[in-house]
Amino acid sequence: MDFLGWLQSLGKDASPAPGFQARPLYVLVSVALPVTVGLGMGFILRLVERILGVELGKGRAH
Amino acid sequence: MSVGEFVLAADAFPYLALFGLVIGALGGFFGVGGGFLMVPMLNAVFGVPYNIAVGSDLGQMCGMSTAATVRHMRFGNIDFKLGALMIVGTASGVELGAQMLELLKHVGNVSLLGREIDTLSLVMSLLYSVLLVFMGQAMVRESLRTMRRAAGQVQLTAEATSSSAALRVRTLKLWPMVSLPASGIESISLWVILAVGFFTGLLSGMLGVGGGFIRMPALVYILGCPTVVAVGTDLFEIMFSSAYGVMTHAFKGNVHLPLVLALLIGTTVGAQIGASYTRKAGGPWVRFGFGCLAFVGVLMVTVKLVLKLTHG
Repeated sequence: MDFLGWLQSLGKDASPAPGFQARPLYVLVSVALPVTVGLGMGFILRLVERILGVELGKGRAH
Repeated sequence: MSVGEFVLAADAFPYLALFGLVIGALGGFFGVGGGFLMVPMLNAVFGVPYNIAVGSDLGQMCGMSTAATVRHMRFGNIDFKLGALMIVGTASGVELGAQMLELLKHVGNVSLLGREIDTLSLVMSLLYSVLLVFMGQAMVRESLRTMRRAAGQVQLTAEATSSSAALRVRTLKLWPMVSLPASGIESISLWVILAVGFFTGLLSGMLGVGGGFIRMPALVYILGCPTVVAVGTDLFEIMFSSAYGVMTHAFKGNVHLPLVLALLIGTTVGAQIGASYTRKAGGPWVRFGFGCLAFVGVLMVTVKLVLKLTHG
């Protein structure tokens, strides 16, 4: 199964009924996925800035 | 509808990543998160139910703010004490917002103009319309005022008025008082910090927005933080509030993981592209354009609601 299929399958048992209990792995991945991608992206951008000697996204200042 | 019932077509992934890139670029260009555009557009363009759009948007927001916080930490722009205190208020607000959304999810349909419409869609469409109109008119008015001020037509500055508001808040002696040396604030009531956090958290939990457009001005004009510290602390706050938000929405089955990933890939790249281009446009014109964009959002949400009411 590919990665997207696996992600989709984690939420398969989600039910609209009141009292729904989410699978612990689904909750864990829901938080860990964005945090991991965000941390990775943050460090990659810092690395790119260091290597190229530029400051990306400086335009937000005004 | 819950995540278990909502299946994203495999070929939709690149389109969603592209959509994330556009919203990310717009957010980066205008200097905001773009969350308030993301949720109504996901619903109006891709047909993603509001509860899933909110939960998944909080996921992409968590990733975006984590990346931005890592960058701001390097410059020492974060007041960690203020951020930590505010998290208490924010988390309570996020939880209440998520519970209100959950309640709406289970209310079912209501009859309006002889048609059945689900309460969640109706309430969220109306709330988003109000939010977008509020934001749009505020930004258009502010940008026009700045343009007039630059032309020498307005004497009273917004900063002067707002500084007096910050001073008034600081004279409020409601125990317990805290000091925030990193922000240059000698003494301020803890309740003011908690109230700002709670209100923005409520918006975040219910509407899936970062709340930066309210928290940022509140930090600068009400609490009196320096702008650079306000930007860094706001991002630090969004990182925690969106992480808490995505967790509580995951417990309710509202987070669609492939959707989060697609949006995250698009927005992280788009934000850098947008921010790089901001330098080429004038500040007030950028904010004016952003205000107009919010009105386009209102139009789309309204058209979707009207179509739902007329065609079912």
